[in-house]
Amino acid sequence: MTTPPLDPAKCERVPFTQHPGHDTMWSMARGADGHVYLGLCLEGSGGGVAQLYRYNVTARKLEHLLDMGEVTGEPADNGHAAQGKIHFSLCPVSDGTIYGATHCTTPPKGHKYWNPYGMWDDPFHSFRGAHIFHYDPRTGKAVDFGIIYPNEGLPYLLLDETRGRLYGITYPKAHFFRLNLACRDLVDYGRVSSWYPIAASFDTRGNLFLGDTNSRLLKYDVAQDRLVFFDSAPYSHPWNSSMRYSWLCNLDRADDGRIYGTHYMNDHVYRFDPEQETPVFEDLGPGLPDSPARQVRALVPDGHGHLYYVVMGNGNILVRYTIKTGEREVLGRLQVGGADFWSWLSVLDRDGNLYMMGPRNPMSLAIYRPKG
Amino acid sequence: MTAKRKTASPRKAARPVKSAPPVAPVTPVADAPQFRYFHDKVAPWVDRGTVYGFELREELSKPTIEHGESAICALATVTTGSVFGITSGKRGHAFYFHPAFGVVDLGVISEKPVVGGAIVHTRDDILVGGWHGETGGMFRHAAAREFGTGQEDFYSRKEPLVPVALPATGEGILAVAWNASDRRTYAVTTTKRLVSVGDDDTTARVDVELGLQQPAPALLCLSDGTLLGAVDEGELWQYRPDAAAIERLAVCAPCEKGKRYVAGVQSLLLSRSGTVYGGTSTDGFVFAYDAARRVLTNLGKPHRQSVIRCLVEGHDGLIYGIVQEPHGMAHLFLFDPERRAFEDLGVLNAFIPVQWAAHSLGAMCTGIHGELFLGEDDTIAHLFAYYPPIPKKRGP
Repeated sequence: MTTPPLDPAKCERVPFTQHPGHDTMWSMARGADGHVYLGLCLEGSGGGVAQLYRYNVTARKLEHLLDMGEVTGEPADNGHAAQGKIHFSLCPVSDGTIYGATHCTTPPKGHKYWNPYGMWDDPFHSFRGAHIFHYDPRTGKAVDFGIIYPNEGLPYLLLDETRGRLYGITYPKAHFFRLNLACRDLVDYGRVSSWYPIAASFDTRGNLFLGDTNSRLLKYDVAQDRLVFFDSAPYSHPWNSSMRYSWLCNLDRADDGRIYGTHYMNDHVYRFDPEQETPVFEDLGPGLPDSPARQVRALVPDGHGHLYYVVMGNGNILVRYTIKTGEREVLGRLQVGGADFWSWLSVLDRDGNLYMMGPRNPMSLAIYRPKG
Repeated sequence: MTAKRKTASPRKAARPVKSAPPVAPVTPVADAPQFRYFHDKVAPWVDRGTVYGFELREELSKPTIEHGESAICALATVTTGSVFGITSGKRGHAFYFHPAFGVVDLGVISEKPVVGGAIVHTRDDILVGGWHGETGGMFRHAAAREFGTGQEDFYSRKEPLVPVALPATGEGILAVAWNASDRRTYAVTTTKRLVSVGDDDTTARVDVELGLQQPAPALLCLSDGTLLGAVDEGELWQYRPDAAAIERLAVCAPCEKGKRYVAGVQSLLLSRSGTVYGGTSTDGFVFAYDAARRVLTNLGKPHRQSVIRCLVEGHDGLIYGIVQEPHGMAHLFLFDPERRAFEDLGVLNAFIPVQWAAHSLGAMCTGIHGELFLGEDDTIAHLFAYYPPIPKKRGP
């Protein structure tokens, strides 16, 4: 049975008309000003640079903020692999500013393919390295911190504002690091995974939880300043005994203090208590028990006892999960303006409206407003 | 003359003649050229032959070689086929690879940080290894019983690592070589001297001082029992065990003009032909050295990176090596002595039994069947087995 689409009266598609050729959006964050900041990426073709946008929730319109070619001093046609992505890296600060980082895999202009391993040290076609930047919406200006890791992209960046630190992951070498914002001193903790971890979440004390390519839970213990590799992993299908390509996805702490997440290779949702010395995963079962699916994505807690997530199976279905009861409410199939879509991640604004990567061609932002 | 009438053979006659069954037309994949393009022209992985990757842990046992102390810095093969190695990092371990158990931790060789090490097969199934770092040391290990396991041995055997006393406590080992002529294992130490230990001894002696220069982490024993090594600036030396001093050979490994003061030798290999091959730490040159004529020939560079980290000879007569400079991406390459040609084989990436691409490789050895073993020296390290392709031969 096909799930009916989301109520059209509650949905809006907002196209990126200034950059219609861009094809993905890997970073979304709600800023301290309440607006939604977006990293618009290009990875399917060569020579485009990432763009920082803001969706102004008051004016209900997209605002273009930064061109990463200009911020980094590496324009799209510089010959190297382009600064084409802002991955899971937008970090809002309480003063209203935003930290972020560029990321690789966008080919150089005129190229169709690019591989970070093969082009690692190529003097002409390599990725020169991701830039960390700091953007102030009040001035409209960005400070370029420069390249921290030559040749590496930064697919993940998190801010511990209390300690004035950024944590990050590199690609392709999958190193975990922290960067002190005051002195910009760098501590590298080495390689942590086959490929880079693609989800991370803080607990209330500033410990950071993330997972490797094989579902293994890692913790950066902030008090001891070291990484702990647990033998904990969430549910995996019995036939995936090696748990390869089984990243933890969409890790996010909900208002009950537990961290919730999804799985790269199955449709289960899980949670664990970060306060446990060795966290134990609790399997919450499939995103929709009656609708087996490939994956669940775009999980986000609403701060009021619910989770939103998208079950990606026969159509991509938006679900609201009640933490207390385990009840799953089907809200509808992801469709806006007649076009189906999917989204890896989502973010909520202060009014509880949900923002997702919308349909492409042209690339767009999809907004679901539960109250209409 | 009566013409014989040709008749069909019984076997032929028994076969009913059928028209060929209809064959469904093959639908070309629209994107096939695109995928071929990616495979042939973009993918950087080693695809000449087969690569397997193994975690540094024993099946059925809790892992004991922790992350951060698993970087493989030395490998050697014994005649049973087992591969032995040393890890570095926050601590050091000795281990062996057995096809039934995986990687077996023989124990911690140093509780203090280890930077590098060396291991060599001596006589029978006995190995001698050593390490350097915050401290140093040397050990001997008899491996025969570890391979001789029965079908109901579900866990590995672990024979002890027997300490070898060095002339100075904590002296670090940079390189080792076994000399069949006098049945001694020679080692270059961090204190810039050559020490040796007899096959039946547990105490090493000082053989000769190497001088003031920093020795290279490479040592060979030539077929006549002469030891060959290198010091700073890539200068080669040799030592005959009956001599009073080393002989500086006035032969230097190649480097680019103006870099002699930072030049060095990173790896040495004695091939079955008797030719010595070497790799440099600066500029990444591979060279050949004719010890009899004392002539060194620069063979060129396999890659743009600088450091030739290891060299081994395959059973196919090819010289294989790893080139990778600090913070670089390790590439496997080969040198064909017949064609005098290099070939970059790419980045090592395994899918079975583990999926893992190696960014940094610090050690190599040749297995008894011609497979190559490669040791990753990263925070989380793996042991890789590379099987070069088997040449197609015409059957009988």
